Amino acid sequence: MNITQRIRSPKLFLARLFPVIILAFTVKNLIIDSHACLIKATTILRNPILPPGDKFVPLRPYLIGVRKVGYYTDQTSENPITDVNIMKDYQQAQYALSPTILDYYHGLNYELIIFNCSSKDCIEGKGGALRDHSFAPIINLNNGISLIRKLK
Amino acid sequence: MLSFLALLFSIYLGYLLITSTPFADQKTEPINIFLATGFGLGVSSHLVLYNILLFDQLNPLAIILSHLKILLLFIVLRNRFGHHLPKNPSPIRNNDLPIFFLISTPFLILLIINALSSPYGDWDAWGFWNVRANFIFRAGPFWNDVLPTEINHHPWLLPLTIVWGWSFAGREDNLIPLLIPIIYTVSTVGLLVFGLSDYIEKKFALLAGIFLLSIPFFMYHSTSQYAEIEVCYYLLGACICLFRTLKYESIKYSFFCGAFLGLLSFTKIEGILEMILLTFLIYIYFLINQKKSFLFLILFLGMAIFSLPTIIVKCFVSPNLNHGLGLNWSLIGDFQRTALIITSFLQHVFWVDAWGGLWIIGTIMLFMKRHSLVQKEIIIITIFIFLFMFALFLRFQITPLYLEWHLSTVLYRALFQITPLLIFLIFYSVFEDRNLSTNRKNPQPHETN
Repeated sequence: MNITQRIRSPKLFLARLFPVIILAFTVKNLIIDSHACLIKATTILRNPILPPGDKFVPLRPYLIGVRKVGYYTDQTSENPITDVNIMKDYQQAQYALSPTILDYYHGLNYELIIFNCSSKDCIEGKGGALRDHSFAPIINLNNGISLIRKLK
Repeated sequence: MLSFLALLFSIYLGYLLITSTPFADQKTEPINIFLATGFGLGVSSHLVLYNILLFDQLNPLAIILSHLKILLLFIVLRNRFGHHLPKNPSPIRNNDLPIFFLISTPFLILLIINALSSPYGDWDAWGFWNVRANFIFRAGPFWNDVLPTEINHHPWLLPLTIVWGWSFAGREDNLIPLLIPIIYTVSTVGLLVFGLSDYIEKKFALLAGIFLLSIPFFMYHSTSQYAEIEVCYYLLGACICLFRTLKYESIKYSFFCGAFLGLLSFTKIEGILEMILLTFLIYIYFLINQKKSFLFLILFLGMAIFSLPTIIVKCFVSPNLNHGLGLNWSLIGDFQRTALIITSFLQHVFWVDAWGGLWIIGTIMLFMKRHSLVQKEIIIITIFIFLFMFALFLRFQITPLYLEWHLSTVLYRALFQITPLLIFLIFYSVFEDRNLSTNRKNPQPHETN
């Protein structure tokens, strides 16, 4: 079949052209994939990836046998459930500390509370979450994260 | 090492089940190995669930024993009644399989690098799927405690498969959640290639496979340890089994079509919707075309058996979460939302480079080959994709969430779920070889053992 006949039969022409187009896209995609993988591989070799919620892991020994604790952060948002900054830390903490359930929504209603603070005053300072309560720090990880026992 | 063994055990179990059913045909086709991987892993997840329900907590020994019992049962049944079955049903002797792996090698290397670059998966992996596995594995009798973040109550195929691996290995080995998506990805591509080979020339089927594997978004998201790749796999598997049911009037494939639909419903909430849509379309197709009703009954039987865990999890394990996000039907007439959904969809599929040209090529080809989309059994897939898109649109329209956020987090995943099926449809419509389809109805002697 010559080129004129092929053009007269566009469906056949298309069927012949289609694999070439797909192959071209496949090669293009392969180049994009290789480039992305090279960057990723270099990054992993330079900085090993830590498990999610690694910074909360030192709290684990204090939560053995504890089914539920409160979780409090001083970061605020109109819609916390869709706020990346709040939810990322919270869900990573939940991953690292499971099977203990961390209650974000009623965090201050528990005897044991995990504080994840960006400011020093968020626990006992002016406007701090526990200013009206007496409390006993169980462990302070010195990175804004601490486990507190609420006494009253 | 034990982690590898756990997954290999499941795959072998799946392979034995697929090749030893009472209605098994005598073919040793490569497609069986790709059907066996996901089927075996799905069966393992079901066994873990039944064991947990029985003991009201995780009992690794009982789980391993129940796997061994099933394995032994089928070996005995095969030896006792399976005289007509091949003695050593190995698909590896088939030449197509080494060629498939040889051509896919560069893509598979990239896939593994991708998986290793995110060993703990992306957000939802540790935020939902793996944390649920942690709970089941660590929490003893409180295995079904509800997490405050579980606003979407998905079924548990992925977490339970991870728990199976951990139970076998005796520890929380991160290799299990890392390997599971790789197995499902390779199996999805294998299903696409060998499923398409029934209708089109093998070289074009292979092209479809490597094109799917090359799509940057598919490459990246399939190894993110989300449950979307499982949805892709079971959806495609169910459709391929369905086509084989209709082509060969095969009881075996009608049962496995139902089984894959049941497993599909155990992957995610979207999986349940897809199962319902597909079953409805299959029923209508059988009704209109006056197909043998016993084939549909067998299909329904397979679906009933394998969707039982979904019903158990949704209705009995955590029934309080069935309220979902609370749909707001008054939003149906909000045209601003409609406009935003449509704009986002078009922008996403045609402007996002990570789709690797799929939607542009797909739209053009499907439009030009529109007549072949409504012929024979392929009409089921065409209508399914349209219905799924409509359901997706409806979901965005009436779910009272911040729409931009909802679209940015859900739209790409939902489209990802139908990607392999869409490629199947595109390649089928462009390359369907009527001679090949007709010949396949009467298999040649070399195709049987």
